[in-house]
Amino acid sequence: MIYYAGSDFLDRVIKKLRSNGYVTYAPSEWGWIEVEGYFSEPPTPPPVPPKHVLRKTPSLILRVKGTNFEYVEPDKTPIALVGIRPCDAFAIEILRRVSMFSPTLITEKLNQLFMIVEECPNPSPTCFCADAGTGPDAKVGDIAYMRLGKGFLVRPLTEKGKALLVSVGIDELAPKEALEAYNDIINQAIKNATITPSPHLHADKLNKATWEDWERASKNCAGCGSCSISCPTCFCFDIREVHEGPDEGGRVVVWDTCLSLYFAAMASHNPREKIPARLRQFVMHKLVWWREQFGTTGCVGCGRCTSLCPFNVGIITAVKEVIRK
Amino acid sequence: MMETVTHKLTPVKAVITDVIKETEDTVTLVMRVSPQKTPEPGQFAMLYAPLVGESAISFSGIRDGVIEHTVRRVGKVTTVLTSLSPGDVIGWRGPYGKPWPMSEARARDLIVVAGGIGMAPLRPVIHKRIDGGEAGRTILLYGARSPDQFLYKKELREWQEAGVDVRLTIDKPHPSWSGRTGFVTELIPKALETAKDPVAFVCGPEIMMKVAIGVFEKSGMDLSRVWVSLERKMRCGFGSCGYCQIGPVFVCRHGPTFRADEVRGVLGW
Repeated sequence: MIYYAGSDFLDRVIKKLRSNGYVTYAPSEWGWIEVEGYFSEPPTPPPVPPKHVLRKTPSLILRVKGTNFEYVEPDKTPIALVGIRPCDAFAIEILRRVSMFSPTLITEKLNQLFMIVEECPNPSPTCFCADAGTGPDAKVGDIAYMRLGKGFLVRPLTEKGKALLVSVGIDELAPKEALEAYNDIINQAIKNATITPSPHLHADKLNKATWEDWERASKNCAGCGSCSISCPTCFCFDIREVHEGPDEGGRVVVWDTCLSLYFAAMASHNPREKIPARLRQFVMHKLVWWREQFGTTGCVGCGRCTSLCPFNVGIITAVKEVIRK
Repeated sequence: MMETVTHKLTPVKAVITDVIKETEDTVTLVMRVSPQKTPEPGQFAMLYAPLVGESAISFSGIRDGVIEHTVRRVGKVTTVLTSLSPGDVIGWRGPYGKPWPMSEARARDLIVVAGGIGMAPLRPVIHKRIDGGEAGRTILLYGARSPDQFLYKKELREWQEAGVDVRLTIDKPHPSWSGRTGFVTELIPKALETAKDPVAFVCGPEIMMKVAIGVFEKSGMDLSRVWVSLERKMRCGFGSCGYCQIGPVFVCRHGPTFRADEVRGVLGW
């Protein structure tokens, strides 16, 4: 069922969610902001992935006073992500899958998470969600919508989503012309949301790549880690100490990146001392090893790792270089 | 709902009851953890020096409800851990990881190959073999850089007396040493000559384990009967932080003990 909703659609669902106890966030150019009603169309994709709003780090996990250790209850406020892009919504489902193996920093948020997904009529040049099978139309979430003129085309994806739409009185079926327009827009968006060569189609070549291939792919990589910090599925975290006095303080978790030099470094040796080894870790984990670990891809095709890379590396350029012979 | 990261990362208290100086930079911490835990040989725990940091340290002793960890001073956290005194309290969580497959070695000869601090996670194996009145023989091949670098010096004699075939070697000749010299991996072929249907557990520097696997293979040993224990940097110890990954493997969860034929694929040896 696809419904038509007027220009007050966002106001109505956001107000309802807030009255139900959710804190409502929407993506913007500047990160996720708390919204109480209408917001303008977010970027494709927004620069900050949703993991950073579900767990803002550094985040305190333990209070320490001398040798007393006090458990810190994680924040469990229900969150609604409104306007989340299809790729990011899919990333949340991937992290749900990862959480079945071992909890992630956002696991405690997943049971009371509401996702209202904004579908993408205009993918960016670095978007390849269609290759990844995660967009540009919503594959997961509770409700999907697309802005159409002054109104919205809305589809419930879960029972929870359907109930919310009923509760705010959205029950007008979309007219035939609107559905046709929607299909045209999505079909065009699918064409735009692909990349050649598609990073997802070259696992064999990636498996066979040599050290020289990775050196070539990483020749512009500075190891800054913006790719994995901006990646919506990267779940690695560090634990650090904070001091509030000589024997008082605590421990915090922070999202981390395997691109950094110290990430794998031990007293005895650093197994990924050189940048090609670190870029390889990031790319191979997303595109190859993730499937073995969790049965899904680790890359949703949002393209942030390339679009936000100061040197235009990321998965798109890296795969292109690695498989070029 | 599954457990949260925060919950799993909260340590319990461990009271240090004794500190045994092993070498110039290595001590064995004897501790009491409450509630009492029953780890298996080959597992590890996260030891927390309050407001300094945590380190993954294997169990070097798990007899009679007493837990021991042997720690070498190599960084910030281990500097604190190696300076502890009886009565001190640290944070502790665990046990984590896959133990040595003791049942695979039951009623068979077991070759234990240890290099340096790599003896620590293998000490509970020796204890268990002795305590269990194991039918199979236990051959310990143990190498150190110099005579003063051997851990558990007093116990080595006791092990010998309890029937363990202890063969020591140091890397280079030393004035105070009249025993074998050379790398510990050089002792493997001879040990294999007398061992019946053996299983092997190996722990030491990564390069030593790589060489050991090569020697076992060359000597005709089935590598599915050889296990090694890998070291990787870890933050959580249970598969959440992502630090210890090698390819698709989480060393903390799928290891730290691995079958040699599997480790070869993972590390490209």
